[in-house]
Formats: sequence, C-alpha cells, structure tokens
Amino acid sequence: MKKFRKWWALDKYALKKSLTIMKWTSLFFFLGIIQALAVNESYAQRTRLELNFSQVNLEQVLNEIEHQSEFYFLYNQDLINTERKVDIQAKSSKIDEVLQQLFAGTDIRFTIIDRQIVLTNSADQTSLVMQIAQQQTHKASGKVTDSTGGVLPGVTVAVKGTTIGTITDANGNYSLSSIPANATLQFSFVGMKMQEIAIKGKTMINVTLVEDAIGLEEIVAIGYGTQKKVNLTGSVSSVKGDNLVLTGTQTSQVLQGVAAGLTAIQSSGQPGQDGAQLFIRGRGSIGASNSPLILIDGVQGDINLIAVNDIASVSVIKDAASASIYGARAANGVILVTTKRAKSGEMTVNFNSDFGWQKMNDLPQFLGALDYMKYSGSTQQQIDTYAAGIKSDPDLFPDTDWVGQFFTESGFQQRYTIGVQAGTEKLKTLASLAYSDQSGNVVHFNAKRYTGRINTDFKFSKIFDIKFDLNFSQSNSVEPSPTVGGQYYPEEISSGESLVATFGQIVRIPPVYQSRYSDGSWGDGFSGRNPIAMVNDGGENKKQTNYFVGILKADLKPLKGLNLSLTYSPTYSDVLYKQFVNNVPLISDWGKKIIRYMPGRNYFTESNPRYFSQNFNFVVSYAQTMDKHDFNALVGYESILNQSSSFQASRFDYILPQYQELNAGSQATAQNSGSATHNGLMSFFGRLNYSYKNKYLLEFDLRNDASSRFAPGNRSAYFPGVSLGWRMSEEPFIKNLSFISNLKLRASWGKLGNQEIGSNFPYTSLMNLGGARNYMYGTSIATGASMDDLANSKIQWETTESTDIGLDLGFFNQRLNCEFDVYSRKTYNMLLKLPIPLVVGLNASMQNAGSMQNRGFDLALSWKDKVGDFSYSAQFIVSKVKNELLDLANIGPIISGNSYSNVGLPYGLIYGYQSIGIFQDATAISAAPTQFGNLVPGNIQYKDQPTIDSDNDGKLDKGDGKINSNDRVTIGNPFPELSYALNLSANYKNFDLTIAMDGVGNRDVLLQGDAVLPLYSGGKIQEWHVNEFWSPTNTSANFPKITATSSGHNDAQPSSTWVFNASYFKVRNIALGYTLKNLALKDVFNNLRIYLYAQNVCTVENLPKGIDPMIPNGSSGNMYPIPSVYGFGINLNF
Amino acid sequence: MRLLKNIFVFLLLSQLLGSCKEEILNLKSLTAPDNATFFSNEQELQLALTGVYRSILILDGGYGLPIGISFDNGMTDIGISRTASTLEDVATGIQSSSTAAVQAWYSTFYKGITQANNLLVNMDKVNSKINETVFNQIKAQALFIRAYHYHNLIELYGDVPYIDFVATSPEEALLPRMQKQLIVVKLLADLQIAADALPNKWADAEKGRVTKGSALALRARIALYNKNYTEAAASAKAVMDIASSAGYNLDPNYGQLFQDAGLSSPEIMLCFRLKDGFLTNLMPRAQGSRNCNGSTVNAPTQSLIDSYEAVDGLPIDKSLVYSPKKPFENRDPRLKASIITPGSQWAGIIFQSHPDSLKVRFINGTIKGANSDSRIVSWPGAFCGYVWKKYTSESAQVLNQMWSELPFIIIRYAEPLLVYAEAKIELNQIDATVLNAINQVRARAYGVSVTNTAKYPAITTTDQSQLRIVIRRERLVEFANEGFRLFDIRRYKIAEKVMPVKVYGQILNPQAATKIPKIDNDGFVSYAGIESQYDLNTDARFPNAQNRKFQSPRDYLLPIPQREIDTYKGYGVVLTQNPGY
Repeated sequence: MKKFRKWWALDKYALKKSLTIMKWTSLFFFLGIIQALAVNESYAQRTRLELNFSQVNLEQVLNEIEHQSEFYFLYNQDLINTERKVDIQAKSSKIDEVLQQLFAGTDIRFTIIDRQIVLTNSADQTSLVMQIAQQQTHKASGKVTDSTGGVLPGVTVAVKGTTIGTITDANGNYSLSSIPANATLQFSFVGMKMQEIAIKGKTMINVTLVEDAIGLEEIVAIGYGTQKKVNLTGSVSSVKGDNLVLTGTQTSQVLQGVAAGLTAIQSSGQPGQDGAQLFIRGRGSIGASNSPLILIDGVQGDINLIAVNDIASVSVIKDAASASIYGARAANGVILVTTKRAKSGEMTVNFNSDFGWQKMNDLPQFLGALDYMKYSGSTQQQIDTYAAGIKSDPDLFPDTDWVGQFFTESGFQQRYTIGVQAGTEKLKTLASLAYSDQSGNVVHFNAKRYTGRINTDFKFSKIFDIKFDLNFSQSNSVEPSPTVGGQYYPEEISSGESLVATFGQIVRIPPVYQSRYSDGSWGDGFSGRNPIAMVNDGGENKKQTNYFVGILKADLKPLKGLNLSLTYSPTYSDVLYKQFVNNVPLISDWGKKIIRYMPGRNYFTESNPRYFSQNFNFVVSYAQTMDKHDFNALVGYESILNQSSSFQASRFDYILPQYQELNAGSQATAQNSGSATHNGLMSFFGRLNYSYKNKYLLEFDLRNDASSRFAPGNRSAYFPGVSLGWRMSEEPFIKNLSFISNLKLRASWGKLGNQEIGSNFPYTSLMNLGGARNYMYGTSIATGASMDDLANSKIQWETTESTDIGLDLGFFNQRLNCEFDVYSRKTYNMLLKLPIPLVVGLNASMQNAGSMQNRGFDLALSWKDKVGDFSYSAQFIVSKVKNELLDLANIGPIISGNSYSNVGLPYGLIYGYQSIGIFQDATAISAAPTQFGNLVPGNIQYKDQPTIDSDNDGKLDKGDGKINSNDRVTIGNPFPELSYALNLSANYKNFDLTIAMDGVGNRDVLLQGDAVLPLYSGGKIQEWHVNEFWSPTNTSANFPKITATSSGHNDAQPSSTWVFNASYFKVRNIALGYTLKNLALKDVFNNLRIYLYAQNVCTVENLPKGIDPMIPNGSSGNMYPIPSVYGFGINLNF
Repeated sequence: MRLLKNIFVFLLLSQLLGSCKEEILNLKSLTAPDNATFFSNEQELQLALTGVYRSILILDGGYGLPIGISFDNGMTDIGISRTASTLEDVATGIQSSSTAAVQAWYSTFYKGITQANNLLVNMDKVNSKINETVFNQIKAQALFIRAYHYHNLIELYGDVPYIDFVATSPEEALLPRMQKQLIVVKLLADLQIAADALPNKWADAEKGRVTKGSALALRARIALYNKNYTEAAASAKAVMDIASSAGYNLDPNYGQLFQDAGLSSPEIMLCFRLKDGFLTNLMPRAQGSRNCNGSTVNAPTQSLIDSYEAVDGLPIDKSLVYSPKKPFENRDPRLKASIITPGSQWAGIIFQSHPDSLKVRFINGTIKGANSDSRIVSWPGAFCGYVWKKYTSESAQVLNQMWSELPFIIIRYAEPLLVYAEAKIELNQIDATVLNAINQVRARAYGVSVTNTAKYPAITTTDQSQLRIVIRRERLVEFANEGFRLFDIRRYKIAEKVMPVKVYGQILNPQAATKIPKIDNDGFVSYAGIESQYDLNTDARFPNAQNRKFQSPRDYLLPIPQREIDTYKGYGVVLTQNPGY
C-alpha cells in the first residue's frame, strides 16, 4: 500500500511480487501445475477475495486486500480518510464488488489498472493519479540479437535502478509492462557488453549486443576478494562454472583437465569412492600433506559435497605470491570455489536430469578351466577327464568365470538438480537441490547423495549488507563388507582387508574352484575364500556422511572505497559407519555337504566420527584512485578452530543376523572406544595492490600464522609474497598492433607453509591411555598408560618458496589466448620422519629436515571463433613438472619397499632389478651370476650391478658374481612429469558438442603379483600370458615362462620386466546436445536442451589388456576398475 | 542514525563471533595427560606400570605368535616355520642386518625398556607421597620387566647399548654397545632388588603380576645362560625354598598344562593372559591341523620326535623297547602330550598326515572328507607329518576357531628345578638334591610321584658328563615349543651341528622300517645313511623342508640392525656390527 503525499517508489510492489512468485514456486514444484503461469484472463477478473470485518479502520481492510492479492492501492493520505470505520463481508468476491461495497455512500472513487487501484475523491485527483499510474503502465518489447543477427535467448533486461526485469525467450524476444515511460533499460548477457537504452516513450526497442573482449573484463576470485583478470600479477587459472561438465557423480572429477598445473587423478571406479585426488604443480612434500587448500566461498570444505551446478567459478591459485595471503595452509596451492548467487529480476528455474549406465570396458581376460589346466601342468588325460566332467557334473568340475560372476549389474546412475533464484534489490535468494544415485557394476555397491544450498543476500542499506549461505548434504554409500572370507578371528577382521582386495581375489582365483553349486549354495572358493559369496551374502558396509556449512558474511561500507567485512562460518560434519560382516556358509565338501562358515563369527561395528570447525575472519579493504594511481589495500584477521571426536562400538555373534544393530549382538563381546582432539590457527594478513596507469602492477602480500600444533616459541611465522605485472598491451607501441589484444608479463615470488603433519601435539610427550597399553591382572583388564612418541619441541612449519614468471597473450580480439608460466618451487625444512636410534624406544616424530624442488611450466592455449551459425572453441593445456630431492639431512637414500629416494633424484623412484633377458638354456644359467633359487630356461636374468671397487678409485666398477639386494637400481618413475588436456566445443544452430580429452606422459608403474604374473601364489593365467611369455617355441618373448611363482621366486622379484609405461591419452567426456526452441509451451519453458553423453570413452595406452592406466604403482591388481558411462539427460530453464 | 545502527550491528556481530587466543592456540590434548606432569600419585604410577606390563605381551608377525614360539620354530632344530615372516631367514642362514625381524625384535625390546625407564626415572617425584612397600613393589615390577627385555636382547644380539633413562633427543641415545657380561651384572643386581621387594604371591585379582619367585627364577635363568652357575644355583634354590609358601608346584598333568585346563595350574609362575575382546593368540591357526582350518605354518621336526626317550629312559638308538615300526609307542609321554602324531585322535578326527591318506576320518572311523593334512590334498599339509599340540587349543580346533585365549607361559616351576640341577652339575656339586630336581620333572611326565621310581625312568647316575647329557635332553623335551631351545643350542655351542641339516619328515612306511638314527652326546640326531626311510620333503616348493645353513661363529648372534648402524652414522657415531655380518 502506498500512502503518497508527494512521491512514491516501486520497491514495495517489486518485493511483494517476488514473494508471491515464491508462493507460486512451491505450488509449481509440488503440484506441478505448470500451466498456471500461462493464463491470460485479466487479474481483476480472476482474483477472488475473502473478507470479514466489522468496525475496523479502512486501512486495515486495504492492507488485507493487499495481503490476499497482488493488488495495491494508490491514494493521497491527506484526502482519503483511512481511519474511517467500515464493515465488509465478502466471500469469493471480485475486487470491484468488494470496493463498491466498501466505498458505497462515500465520495471515494476507485480505478483499477491491472494490479493498481487508485482511490480518489475528486476529478482532479483522479486525473493526477491516473497520470502517475499511466506512467507505470508503459509497455516495451523487442528482440535482442548478437552482432551476426542471431537471436539471443536468456538476455537479462532490467529497468535501471529497479528490480523490475525479465529475460528474453528462445527467440530473443522480451516484453515488459507496467514500467515508467521514462525508464532506462539495461541489457546484459554473459560474454557480451552491457547496453543501456532510455525508452523515451518508445514501445518497440530492438537491441544488438556486441561481444565483450573475452576474458579481459573477467573478474576472478583471489584470496579474500576478487580482481580483474587483467590486473592479476600472480598465476591464477580460472574456470567458469558453466564450463564445468560433470558426467560422474563426484564434483572433484570435473576438475580433470580444466586448468594447466592442476592434476586430478581418479584411481577408482567404486561408487562413492571415485573422487579425484588433486595436486597443483606436483608433489611438494614427503612427510606432510600434498593436497591443495580448497576454499568454498572462503571456507575450507570438501568439493565433493557441493553440487556442480552451484559452482559459479573455480580459481586455481598456483603461484606462491597470490597464495601467501593464505600462509601456512597454502603450500600445495589453493583452489577457490565460488558458488552462484541470485540476481535481481524475475525468478528463474533451472532443472537438470541425466541417466547413465556404467560399463566395464577393459577387464582382464583369463583362461578357462581346460586351458588353465593345460598351462599349469595337467596331463592331457586329466584335461580330457575334466572336459567330460564339466559337461556331466559341473558341481564337481567347475569352470568358474570369476570376473563375469562379479560384474553382474548394469551400473545405473541418475542425477537430478533443480535450482531456483529470484530477488529484489533488498533480498535475493538462490536455492538448489541435487540428488544423485549411482549403483556399481557389482552387487551391493551404491552411492546416493543429497545436496542442498540456499544463498541469500540481504541488503539493509546502501552501506550494509549480509550474506547468509547454507550448504548441507548427506551421502549414503553401501559396499559389500570388505572381507573376502578366510578370516576367522577378531584380530584379523578388525585389521580388515580393504574392499579393493575383493577385486584382487577375483583376478586370482583359478576357474577350477567352485563359486556356487547348482543348488545355489556357495562353493568353498579358494580354501574358503569366495569373493562372490562374500559380495552377495557377506554383509554390507554402510557409510553416511552428513555435512553442514553455514556462512554469515556482513559487509559494511561506511565510506567510499572502504569495506569492512566479517565472516563467521561453522562447518559440521559427521560420518556414521555401520558394518555388518556376515558369516557365510560355504560347502567345503560337496559330496558330504560339509559346511564351514566364513568368517567363523559374524559381527557388527558402528563408529561415528564428528567434526566441527569454526572459521572467523575480519577483513578491512580500502580502494582509492588518485589520478593515474590505483591503490587497493587489505588487512585482516582470521581464526580457525577445528574440533573432532569419535566413538566406536562393536559386537560379535548375531544369532539373528537380519537385525544389524548393536543390541542384537552378544553382550559378552561388546567393545567400544573413543577419542577427541582439536587444533587452532590464528592469523593476521594484508595485501597491497598498486597500479600505475593500469599498466604497471605491483602486489605485496604478507601473512602471519600461529598454529596450536607447535610449541609456544615456534608457533608463528611470516609468509610474504610479492608480484609484478606489466601490461605491455597498454603501451602505445603494442596498442598500435591491432592483432594483439592483450599482452602482460608477470613475475612473482613468495613463501608458504605446510602444517599438515598428522599430529596435533607433536611438541609434547603424552602418556597415552588404554587400548594397546592394557594388561590383565586376574581375570580383569586393567587400563595402562605409555609414552609412545619422542616429542620434538622444535618442530616448525615446512616452508615452500616459489618463483613464477608468466606471460599472458591475446590475439585477434582475444580469439587466440595464451597463458604461459614457468616456475620453481622449493620446499625446505621439510617435515620428515627421520629414523632415530631404536634405543630411544619411542616412535620418531616429524622433524624439519631436507629440501626438495619442483620445476616446470604450465601452458594454456585457447582459440574461439564464430562463423555464421557455427561457433567453436578449442583449449589445449599442458604442464610439466620435474621433481628433485636437494637434501635429505644425510640420511638418504630412503629405501622403503620398492621405492627409492635420494638427493639429486626425483622422490620415490621405483627400485628393483634390471632385467637383461630370459635364460634360454642351462649353459647360460651356469655361466651367469647366481640369482634366486634353482633356475631353469625361461627364467628372467638380472644384471649383476657393479658393487665392488676393484681398483680403489672410489667408483664401483665390478659385479660380485651374485644377484642380491645390492644389485637393485632405480628402474622407473611413478609420478607423471607431463600432463595435458584438450577440450573442444562447437555449436551449430541448435546443436552443441563438447569433447574433453586428457593424458599423462612419462609415468611408470611397477606391477606385481596377480596383476601380471601367471599362477602367482596359486593364481590363474591371463590370456596375454599365453602369447607373450617365453616358451621353447617363443624364445624371443620379453616375459618369462609360465610357471607357478610366489613372492621370493626369481621371476617375481621387482624388476624392469614388470615396469610398464603407464602414460595414456584418454577421451574423458563427449556430450552432444540439442536445444529445442519454438516450443509449443514457450510460455512455460525458456529453454529445453536434451543431450547424450559418454564418459571414459576410450583410452590410448600401452599396458597389458585389462589393466587400467590409472592403476596405482606397486599394485597387485587390487583396484575397482574405472567404468565407462553412457547416458542421456535434459536441461530445462523456466 | 542509520549509519550508526548499521555499524552497531556490525560490531555486535564481530563481538559475538570472534574468539580469543587462549581458545585457539593454547590447546591441550583431550585424550592423554602430558608426561611432564604425570606420575603425581599412586594411581598414575599404577597406570604407567600396567603400560610397562603390556610390553611383555609380544606377539610376533602376521600370526600373532608369542615370541618363544617363533624362536623355536623359526630358528632351531626342533621346529620349522614357513611363515611369511623373516625368522626362517635365520634357519636358512640368509639373514642379514636388513632382515625385517632382526630390526623388529631389537626395536620391540627397547620399546619395553623405555616404558620401564619412564616409570623408574619419574616415580621418585612422588616417593614421599606413597606407602614405601607399594612404592618398592611398583619399582620391583618395572625392574623385572626391564631385565626380561634386556635378557632377550643380550641372548639374541650379544653386546647391546644399555639405556636406563629416557632420551629426550636422538642424540642422547647414541650409546655404544655395552659388554654382555656387564649388562648381566646389572640385571642380576636389579632382579635381586626386585626379589627383595616382591611378595611370594599376590591376591587372586592381582595374578599376572611378578612375584618374588618369578624374579628369582629369571635371575637364575640369566645367571645360568651366562655361566654364573653359583648365582644360578642360589637363585633357583631360593625359588625351591619358597615354593610351598608361594604355592608353586609341578602340574600333575603335563599335557593339560598347555590347554585350557592349565590356566590355573600351580606350576605357572608368570604367564601373559589373553582374553577374547582384549587380545588373543592365533596359535590354533598357525599350528593347527589343516582339517580344522589351521594352516600348520609351524611344525615339529622328525629330529625332535626322535629326541624323546623311550620309556626305559634311554634314547631311541640305545633303547631296547623302541621300534621304528611303531615309532610312537613306548615313548616318553611328553611326546604325545606335546605333538599330534599320525594316527592319534585330535579334535574329533583321526589325525593322519601320510601323503597317501586322501580322506580323513572321524574318531568313530567314518569318513569326514578330503584330508587336508595330506600334502597331496592340500599342499604342504602337515609337512613333516606332525602338528604341535602344545599351545594349540583343542577346544578352539573343535569349533574351527582360529584364535585362542591360551596364555603363554613365561616362567613355570619346572624351569628353576632344571636350572638348579644344571647349575649344580656344571659346578660339579652333584648330590641328591640335584637328582631329585631332575627326577621331579621326569616323574611328572609320567604323572607319578618322584618316589615312585618303578613307574618312570628315574635318573640315578652322579657322573657329571652323563648328567650333562641328561639335563640337556631333559630341557629339550620338557620345554619344546616354549622358547628355550634357541638360547640352549647357542650356549651349548651345538647350533653349528644341529642346524645345517636337511629337515626330514615322518617314516613313510613303518612296516618296512628297520633303521634307527644315531643320537650323539650333544643330542644331535643323525640320519646319515638311513635317509630313505623318512619323508625327504623333496617337493620343489620346499626342498628338504628348508635349505638350512649355519655359519659359525657368525650365526650364534643376530646382526645389529643395519638401520641402527646407519642412523648412528647419520649422527656421526659408529655402532659396531657383530662379526661376520
């Protein structure tokens, strides 16, 4: 209601309208009455009112009408007495009926103009008010096109200075009514320059938008703020959320191949466990974490727990100067994720859904029972008997296809997301819900996730606003209990076999063992190990993750250029694990039907770790421009407190195994444990940006961090950074070269810390209580205490120093773009667990020792253009990193299993014997140095490395005539030095196509056991073994003879024979879409796109059949392979 | 006004949400007290003492075996181990300073020593607040456990660094090796202090704690191993003297002592107790029959079988009642009490390990199914033909349960008796007490009283060299699979003779067997010339069970771990290696 004396504004109407729309929204979703939006009857005709008042102020009645409807009243308060007492009874009445009743017998006249009702009591008044109201009812419509004449759907058209607006439809048309005749319209669209056009009474306004110089005006997120991309002096890669394509169910997967220098490695296809591990510019630490800091709207979080559709942009901060504002958490780089926020204007709704099927494309192929017998030493007579038996009595003569019986499911996955946003100048809200459901190709594998987000912006006044965001998610994953049989007793169960070991069993158990008998009972498998029985009947391992983040951000701008910003963010998460291990009856003797239970006892365990962290920061920034000088300064304070606690409880012996809660197990076996811990970080930071003529750029960053993880004297440290930029393209001599649209040189240096040392109290000696310190007196268990760790009171930050030089180049009005960075990143005071004398009798703690260096380059090249209806883009990114250990505090080499690290070499090289061929005959064997065990022709021959200094010149020059552990050398590097990606996209008329490809080069893997060896420890034979292994008729083979091996066997030693080139090139995603325009329901849908997609389409690689190139180094075949996914989906915009 | 209101709200928020330095940075552990402020009252000393006790529960490797079992099977002539652990490297002579077990043991014992040291050096802080007797008893128990760990260290490695404080930096712990004999002097002194402070026995609820008798028995053992026979005899005698008041006695049933029934035996002076839900051992799996889901990774050898006397008290090569056609008859009852022999009943089945026995039978004679103890059915089966009965819980086997609560005995009363006898024999102070000590143990094997010499072969000779043969054989069979054999073959200097031999299995065709191996004065069983009568274990996967080797004198000691030498070197200090490594 507007009581106008002189002026009135439009605010209230807009706010009211948006609230009403929100009501409609609920209706729309839950009742699905989409058509409701498309009615044409006039508002006054279709609106019904319910009123029942007696002897109340007129004002109250008017308020009620406004409340029930979208009507609002205009009148002059001096002339209309609103305090007059009135009576009104209306039941489903139209507005004019109500008003007639209300004003009967008075001089008040009413005029209804759409939703406005003008009240007057004189003709003059009527004319005046009508004039004002008519201004409001001006109409404008038109068409928005781009420079080529193509229509532009989705362009925002807003009345300047108000929140009234709309967006163009599929044909680029818009229409606005009820706007002031003297309004100015603003047309804006991503990638286009915004245009403002004054209506000046016109009703038809067609607009052509021109493309923005791509990227130059782009704003990117940096630490505690944003910056224009052109003014960046550090190395920051930025990706818009709209460019992220998710075809898996883990958000981290979308970061594969999007930014140079960012490596995302997905090494498992298991539902719920298929997230990618992220690295920025290689591996900077040995003893501490290598994971980058991931901040979601400024708060550390788990990227897999936000929905891809909520992401507005991702910034990858690679250089130390830009990252140093994050100090001790930023040594491994920073990834800033910014979520979408609502814009003012009409409500928009976006709905996506897709469906896909996963398929295992590259599984190892094994010999069937008869061929297996042939190559494992059975006689032809035995094979013939078996062949007859397979036909007559398959229970006693099994030919089990373990792989086929394991991957039995279709692996269906589905995802839905819905996002709604609307807003006025005072209040804007974006809400979204996402749901995904992914099954595996193996029974009992499933992962479901629900994600919700509400981002709200309140504007209290021109100087004060508050953002209030909530993000919550629940993930539920199920997998078969991670046991494969063979465990009988509590200790081994609790130490647990990981689930990937189940697949490890699948690839090792020979076909002559029975998985399931004809009557449906389970076979004994391999001496009681039957992975098929266990995944089907062995119980489930359930994990539920609840995650909640709230962000409250208040901004106060008391003076121009000055901004005070306050952020408080609590993050809560907890994980509820419930695991039931069932004891499955296996028939160990088919003839006698003898049953044995595997494992011997069933059991249930439940645990619940809970995490709460609170982040508080206060940032003051000030921007000032004086002539050609631009200053931007920022200072801030931040505190982070992390708390966690957990408990665990378990019981054995469930008589009724279908009741899988603690109460149903045997009380006598009840056990429990628990723990809690915390850590804190308190910091001050600042940044100064200065630019002269927008050409010469300077940035200085400094952070002081103090961590509770270190002793008081060592708690705090300073992390500075400085960077310079020169926008050469602003210099006249370049500006005249029209083909160069951007040219910038950047250089930066900075220092960062790493405090992720895995312990919260490394500086103090604790007397740990209970658990493995208890002892029995009599028949009861007494609690014990022990000091287990040697405290290191001097422990401090690991420090990373890096230098970056970069060049940004843009040609042909930014159609061709290039970003190139070279860098050197040196880590010193590395957190290492150096060996201490065993005499100390305590576990070594982390020490600051040694240093390591990563040097490399990142290059991103992109091209985009448009020819008529055809627009396309291509992006190529490549990065190379070379790692070198500079110092290991004189304790090198560090040899751990088959990994070797020493000064002057990359960290963690593969260590083993150098194969020099296959022994062809007994003479060759007797002439060679002794190796492992009794050798026969067909075994691998190893090189006798020089281990003796025969001429005392300090160099080892002679072999010692025997092969032993001293003959091991470095035989490969498992860390990829080169990674690259190629992203292509094209649009033609209604079609769009995107293809994402990526790959790595220079990566080696050592494979062992069942992954590559035939008949390993009683395992089976893969098809490629038959052709590629040595035999008297295939003497030129690279691989040894097919023979039973086990650990310690000559051929099973870690050697160059088993080191494979794991470089690959992968077509990761293909998506083909078609956008439907000119829909019959165009009043309802702005846009409907349907698409087909495929993920992990094909891979070019060099490994034996059935081995995924993502296989971890050192693997024996235990991994859940990564499936291909094929599916389709729709996008809908309202 | 509006500006002020906005600023007010903003400041209010900042006050509500910010927190102070104390809450963020000065954090303390929520789960454990700081060592620096611990040891402030008796309860805290008891907590720490319990932690020290826990260090004697040492379960080895993947099969969770008590260390003594690992020693006997991995490194001696009486047993064989085919675990994936590295102890069998010692039997095959391929151990090096980098062998995992070599480092693991060294580390384990020093961890126990450090826990004891932490209590011993800190407990003086509260000396005045605690009852003197209680204080001294706590100290005595810690001294005992520290001595137990040092005893293992010096017998395995010889000279080792001696530490009796808690290092606060790696540099403080770069100690040189101390001569074994000097360490022995310290241990004997500590154990005397312990024995003086400890009670003869504890209340039932405190059983499991060290008693005066245990301290004296360990003292006697250490003295004996290090040829201090006078102290050995004196301490062992002291145990025998308090036996009746402390309640020590030989268990009348030798076999039951190592089964569930033995837990409360008066013979057990110190054992480590296990309980489902606390800690269990995996001996039913490691030692058990494959027909009962065991894996038989540890097994007795033919040479042990042949070391048991015949019932006439003579070794089988001299006995008139032994026949290779019936090799398990007329034998010392401890053979069948310790070992499951072919044809005997066990856990409801008739145990049979012959390669040709493809089916296993229930004790009523009906066929149960395929015989997994036969290596033809389930390689390598019970590969020498025998399975340990001692410490393999029969009740667990019946249940196909692979874990058990059977306690592992650290000290039992038979030991001080035999230590006393051996020390007196070595001192050549042979009298009736010596013969009585030996004969008590022998009579118990037959389940009869020491005076009932008609029912068991009592020892009557007083000849020192004859008795030396007797006492060594007596220790071998009495303590088989209890962790004594390794240190015995080292101190008798017979490892170089008994170890580098082929390990044979059972007689495959008893009907045709006529030959008997020769047993010499060192107890060494020689199969020279009669090998073909035995299971030769020639399967390519386990030729002659193991290629056993012994390099003398090197292999009388384990090497100092290479990692330790390298760590010292990193700090610029030289730690010497044992000769030959």
